Amino acid sequence: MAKVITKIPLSLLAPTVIFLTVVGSYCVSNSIFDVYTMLILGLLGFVLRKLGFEAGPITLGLILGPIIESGLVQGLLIGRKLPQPWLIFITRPICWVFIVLSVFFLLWPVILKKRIVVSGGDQK
Amino acid sequence: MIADMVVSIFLLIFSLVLLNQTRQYNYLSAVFPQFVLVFLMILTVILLVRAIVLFKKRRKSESKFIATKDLFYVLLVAALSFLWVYVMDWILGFLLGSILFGIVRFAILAGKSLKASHFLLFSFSYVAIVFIFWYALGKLLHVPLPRGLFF
Repeated sequence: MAKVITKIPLSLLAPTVIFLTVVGSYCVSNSIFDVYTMLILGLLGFVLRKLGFEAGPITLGLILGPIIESGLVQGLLIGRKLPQPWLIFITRPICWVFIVLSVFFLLWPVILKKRIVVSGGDQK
Repeated sequence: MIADMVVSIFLLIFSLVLLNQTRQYNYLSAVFPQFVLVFLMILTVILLVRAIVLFKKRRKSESKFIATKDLFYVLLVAALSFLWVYVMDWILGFLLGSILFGIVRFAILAGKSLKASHFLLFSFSYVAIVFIFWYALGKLLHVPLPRGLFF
């Protein structure tokens, strides 16, 4: 199935995909303005992609951003009892578990690269 | 590398302007945008420094941004898409506009290798897809689709 999909010519795929994106962006709030916004951001995304900026992190940011913002504000509201509201993010053990995990996964590509260099490039 | 420099300078100015704007908000509304903007500025400075360092070590044979022929097709499809949305909203409506511009885009992208049988097959399939969406959204779900001058 995947092989068949990858063999579909661009001339067939592009008009259908453009149609579906326009329908999708219009149906969010029944507004043509949203469609223009989608087209402009699509062009911007194309230029950024050509300049070497990946679309994945931008999409992740768009999806996770509002969730992070509400979580941060909720945390700060809970932390109002402390001398500094920011301390709420480092005073609980569960916070430290996630901080350590985040640092580990942030550094993991560097560690992996070093391990590959040390072992002569055999590992994947 | 030059692109990285231009993008990083643009992002630096952009984040500074937005950071200045967040001063109007209260603490809880401004905290997340400020956090993100400061983080963006730090990463942008790193990108700028990296771009400058790499620019000094650059080789002359750098690849082109995009081939001229591809750029022509991209711009043509983008222009057609903008025209389609404009025409769909004001003149042709959702059904006619989508069918017309979809078939035109297919004919342009297929180019000289287009056969009559393929053209007919795509046209019928595309008309069917558009009609299904038009009926499902407009008639069943009562989404107010662009009407244009006709329907």
